[in-house]
Amino acid sequence: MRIRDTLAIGAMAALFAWFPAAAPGGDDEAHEFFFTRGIYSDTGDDDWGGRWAVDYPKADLQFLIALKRLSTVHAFDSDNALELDDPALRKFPFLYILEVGSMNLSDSEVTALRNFLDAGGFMVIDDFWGTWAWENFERQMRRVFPEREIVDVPMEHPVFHAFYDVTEILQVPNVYQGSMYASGGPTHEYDGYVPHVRGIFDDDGRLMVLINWNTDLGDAWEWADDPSYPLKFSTFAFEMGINFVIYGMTY
Amino acid sequence: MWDFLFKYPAEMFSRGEITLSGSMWLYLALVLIAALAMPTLLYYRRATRTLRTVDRTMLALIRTAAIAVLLLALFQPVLTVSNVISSRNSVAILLDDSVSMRIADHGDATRAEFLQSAFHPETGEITTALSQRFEPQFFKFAGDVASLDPGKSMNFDGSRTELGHALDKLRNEIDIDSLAALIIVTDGAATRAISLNEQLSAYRAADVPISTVGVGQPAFTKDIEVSAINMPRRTLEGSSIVADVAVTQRGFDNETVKLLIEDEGALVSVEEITFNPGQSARTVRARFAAKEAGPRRLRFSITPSVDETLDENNARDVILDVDGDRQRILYFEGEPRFELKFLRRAVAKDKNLGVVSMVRTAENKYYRLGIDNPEELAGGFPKSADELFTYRGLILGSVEAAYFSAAQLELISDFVSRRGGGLLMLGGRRALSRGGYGNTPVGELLPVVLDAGREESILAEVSVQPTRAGYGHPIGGIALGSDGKPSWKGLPPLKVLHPLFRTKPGADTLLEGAAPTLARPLPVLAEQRFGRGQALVLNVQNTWTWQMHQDVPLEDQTHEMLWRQLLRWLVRAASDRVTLRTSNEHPSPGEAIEVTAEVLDSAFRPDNDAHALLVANTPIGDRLTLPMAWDPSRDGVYRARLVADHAGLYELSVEARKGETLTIGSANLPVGLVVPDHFRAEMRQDFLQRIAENTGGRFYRAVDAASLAETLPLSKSGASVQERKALWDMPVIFLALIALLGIEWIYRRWRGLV
Repeated sequence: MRIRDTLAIGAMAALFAWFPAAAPGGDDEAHEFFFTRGIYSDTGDDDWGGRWAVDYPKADLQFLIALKRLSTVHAFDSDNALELDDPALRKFPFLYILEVGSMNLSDSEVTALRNFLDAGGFMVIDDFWGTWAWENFERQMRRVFPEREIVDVPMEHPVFHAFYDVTEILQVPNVYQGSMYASGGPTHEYDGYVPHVRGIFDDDGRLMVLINWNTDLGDAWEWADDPSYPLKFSTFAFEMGINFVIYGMTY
Repeated sequence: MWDFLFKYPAEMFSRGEITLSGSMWLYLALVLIAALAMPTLLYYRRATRTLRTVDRTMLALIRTAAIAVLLLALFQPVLTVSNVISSRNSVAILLDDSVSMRIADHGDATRAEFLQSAFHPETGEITTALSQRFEPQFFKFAGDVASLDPGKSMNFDGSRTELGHALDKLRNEIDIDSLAALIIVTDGAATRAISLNEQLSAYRAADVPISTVGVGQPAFTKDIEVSAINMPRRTLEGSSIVADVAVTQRGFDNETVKLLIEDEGALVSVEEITFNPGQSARTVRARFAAKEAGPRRLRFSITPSVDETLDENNARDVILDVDGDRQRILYFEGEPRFELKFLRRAVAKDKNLGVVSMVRTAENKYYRLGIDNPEELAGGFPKSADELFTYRGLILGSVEAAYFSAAQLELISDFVSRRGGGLLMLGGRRALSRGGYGNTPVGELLPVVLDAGREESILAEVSVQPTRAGYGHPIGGIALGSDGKPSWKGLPPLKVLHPLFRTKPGADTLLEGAAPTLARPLPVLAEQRFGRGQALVLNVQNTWTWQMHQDVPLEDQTHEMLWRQLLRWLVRAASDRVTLRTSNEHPSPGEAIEVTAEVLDSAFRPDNDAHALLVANTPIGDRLTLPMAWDPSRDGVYRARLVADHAGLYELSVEARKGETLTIGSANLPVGLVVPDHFRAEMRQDFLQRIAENTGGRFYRAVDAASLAETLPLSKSGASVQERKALWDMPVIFLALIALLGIEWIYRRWRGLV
């Protein structure tokens, strides 16, 4: 590990340490922003207890620390996971979902998600890799919006400039590959060689769904305090995430 | 009967004086008779027959009364009255030439027919009688006054009855000091609701009694009238309009009628009105949207029934200037909030509202949205009037007072008070009292009391309902039930942080919120005027819940309506730098109108150095250009007088030039749109009576006017003489004498004394 990386990781760790831990049960209702993680049905072919919970809750909490430290967003300090068909979801217009390669939405989840997005909610998708996962995700989204296209989001789109000016899409590796990155390891998983940011737009050209494919922002948040995880990726992941939040709260 | 018994009219007795004119011999005769009466009495005492005391008393009384009546005649009573010598004094007669005289409520005849038969300058019956004693001068009047010289006729087509103007002009045209009296023959309809005190004082000072002849019925048998419409005359396209329509009726008790509201012929609203017994007037509230830009002719009408006295007063037209411009509003948010996102969405498709947003996303870092150019707001919140006053509305979100410099807080205050802008402060953790706005210039603007030391927050979810004032406000109609009528039931509760319970005197609470945890409802939306503009507080922080909540159907438009109407309301008082007003909203063709323009500089201060020009595009395509004169008594005010000769819409604009800068303000002026004389067209007896009483004249109903020539109250000054009218030969004296003698004879027969 180079000295520069060591210093950078130390700085990031100091940043997180500067903030106190979340205080569950506080005046949560008075907060403006809740990092809401969507709980969805999946194929259940693994032992993880649900793919929705990958990186949960540490990634969420660490992202919130950075968000509060770097912006004026009055965010709730703790995690906030809700099932997609929970009526309470409509109280939180920002939604984060990951590992959608095995997502298998129930009919009620499809309806609830469509209504959430049509009402003005904003959903960020993260951490799914390769062709197989994409096809599953696309199939699920066709059920939600049969008529809406999934398209690449151009770099000049406000979502890349709402807080930070992001000019390049990096592939953010998972924690394992991140730790191997310094030694020349790959950043991709399966056949997800090229990272994409795609979107589903509403009739007025606003992003409803922001899809981060072949990249893993969540791991970068979760392991930002790990000295072995490259600062480059965690920094990028925080920049992207904060941009998403600002965009989701303004458009 | 009076005239037969007393020879002269009662009115003559009331203004004359009765005296006795008998000679000295007659008074001697009285003494003689009295002397003779004594032996008579003694003779009666020694009567051959003994009379009972009661008979003797009765006979003595009757006989004494008879002698008294006889003596009264012998003393030659006279009635002394002050009268005018014919052919020396003149009487001016003002005849109503307005269109309301065509109403057929003088029996089967029209008011005009009565006027022609009674007061025609050559052939009128009353005119003839007046001519025997006076030199009558005839004038016709409606909107103006004209001498009714021989050969000139009356048309009864004046659209209004300007009695005050007529009295003024008459005073200037003739020498009223030579008048014995002034007679006004009119129905009094449509006379503007102005005091005539000044005019009447002038006539009273000249000792000219004004007598009035009221033509027409003081109350129609059956009629309905759209009496008044209270609504804005200028609005922004897409605004919800609340119009209060006053309807009066005669003979429609227990009946239901429909008030139709049309926008350029297209029906936009229907309201049913039922009149309870004895309810002569009702005000109904109608809501509709101003959907298209430009001058819009709105008609408020009730279909006439077959037996109404007057159909023309069943409809009233109003011109509504609908502004199609984009109104720019600055929304400054101290932190990212979903309120901003959903507000922007609510008005995104509204071409009349341009919300420019600036969000403080980090310390000294701003995210600007909806800006017109890269320089706009590049330096943060505006620091100069030139920059801030380009907006018409200002929304302050969750941003603390300490963010602003003292000069910026003053600038916001000026924005409201001087520029006429609208300020809306939203609830939020850095707003209102928690934001430290108490004891700041901005805190002074706000309609709520920001208690010092009350910075603590409450966290309550309140159910929002309009107050009584709110229901009468465009905001009151934003939430609609399934039947399309305003309904606020079922809207999710909203979050309140600030314990604001008190509004300032003069503020209106439009929405209030109740919660089980609160002892009483607290104001949610309050407003107050401040200087030229207005300030509002919306003490909630998540109206977006009305868009996102699970219980709100996706197609529900309440949230969109809230912001579209609230922001329209916010900018309603923000004026342009040149504004126009006219002295009369509904002038008639030919009427002179004073056009007043207020000219402001770029900082919205009165500009006294401009060259102002009034340009009027007439309905027939002419273009009139009139220089406007600066009014030295009022800063920034310029005036011009325009005679609107043609019926139709006059497009007025004022061009104010100062150096190279040209500023233009415009307005539309409908001429001849409303015929005032068709409204309040019943004969206004009280009004005409007051004129007569105020000047020593007399009020005559048309049916009683035949005696006018004889009974007309006249000036006590001028060429008048004392006239003595003998009263001794009044039939009543002889009838009384015969009656008394007859009673005595009957009494004697009854008592067996003959």
